[in-house]
Amino acid sequence: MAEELLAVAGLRKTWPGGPTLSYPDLRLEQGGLHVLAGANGAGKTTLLRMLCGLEKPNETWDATWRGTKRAVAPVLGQDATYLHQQPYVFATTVGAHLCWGRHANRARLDEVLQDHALLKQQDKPLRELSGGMHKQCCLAALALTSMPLVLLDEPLAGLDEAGTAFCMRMLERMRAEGRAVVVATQQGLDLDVPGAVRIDLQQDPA
Amino acid sequence: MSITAATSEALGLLLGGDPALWSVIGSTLAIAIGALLLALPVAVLLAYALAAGRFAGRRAVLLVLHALLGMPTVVVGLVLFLLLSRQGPLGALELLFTPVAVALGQFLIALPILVAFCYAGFETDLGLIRESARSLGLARWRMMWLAVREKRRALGSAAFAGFGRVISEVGCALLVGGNIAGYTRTIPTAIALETGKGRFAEGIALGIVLLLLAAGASLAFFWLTGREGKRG
Repeated sequence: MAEELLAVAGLRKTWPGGPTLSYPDLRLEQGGLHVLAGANGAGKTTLLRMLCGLEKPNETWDATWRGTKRAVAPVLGQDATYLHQQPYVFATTVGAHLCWGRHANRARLDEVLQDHALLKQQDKPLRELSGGMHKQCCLAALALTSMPLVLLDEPLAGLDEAGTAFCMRMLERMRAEGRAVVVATQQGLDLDVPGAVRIDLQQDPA
Repeated sequence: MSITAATSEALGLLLGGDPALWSVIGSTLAIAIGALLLALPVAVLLAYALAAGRFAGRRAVLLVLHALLGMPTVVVGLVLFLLLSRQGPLGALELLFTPVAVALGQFLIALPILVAFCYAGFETDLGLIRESARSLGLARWRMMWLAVREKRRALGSAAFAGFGRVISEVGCALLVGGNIAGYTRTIPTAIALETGKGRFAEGIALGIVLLLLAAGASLAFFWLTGREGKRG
């Protein structure tokens, strides 16, 4: 059985004047692919954001991190990395963006670049890329970091076939490095890959 | 003297390179640019803290900031005069009636407008920029540097808005500068003086320069704000 990275029970989040989102107990494994599936408003993004401290749950954070009790959420940029649903397009080039990540090392960068034709155009400004290509570039940048928890919000949305295949290879690469990957996706069907753990979020947004 | 005659004489003074006139223009620019160069980094830091921070009293600070936008410059001058006058708490510095005092006044006048415009620039996207940067594990200072770089056009337009405000300011410069020729005289204070003396040509000549500077600042502001929207 794979080693556990993070276990957190009974997360809840209430928005002022909104519904209370109650989540199932989570157990995220190193090298695991965890697929958060649920309709709009089911709280997928909120959960990802709570898992890296960008949102606070109702109760005090109480979880186990690598087998030890821990009272603070994983820290973004240190324990976790997060791909926004619509990532910000920085005024920089593909190559510069890929190298920004902490611990992004040259050997791994070359491997990722070999994988993707357009990413080889390192001097191309990010703002000249299509939305789908930009998302792939952001995903590649996250793949080059070494945070053990990887949180991805709709990474496949808007990607073509080649983009989806690249995204899947990046996910596999991160899993192979022993990182726990959590992916939020509306259908949950597009990530029906062997070994993926599906987590259904069923909250009623009303 | 008719307006036409005064204007043509004014153009003659300007194009003929009248030394007194150009010295006023030079000191006006030096003081305004100096004040802005000091105020801009302070404003960027304050605006970034206001846009990125979620501290108690943040809303109160924003309210005060917006209230200060309409602050009468002559009141700033009065307060600064009292602070810098010989009996005032900063009297020992002997800054009253020096270009430093005028620049200090312009610093105070520019600061709220700079902070407000920089804040408006940061407010859009700053959360997303910071989250994206943090996701890659970038250090705080690099995150801030990135945000400043991403918002450089908004910050540049803030600088021009501030320049437009201080360059045409007369009340404060008159009070704390004393309108000393070749020293603390700025274009607006010179216009007030020349008009009072009935020397309309000098007034009009300086008025033309001031109009061009203010219009240039507004156009630069407009251009940069438009570019900001294009993100290009």
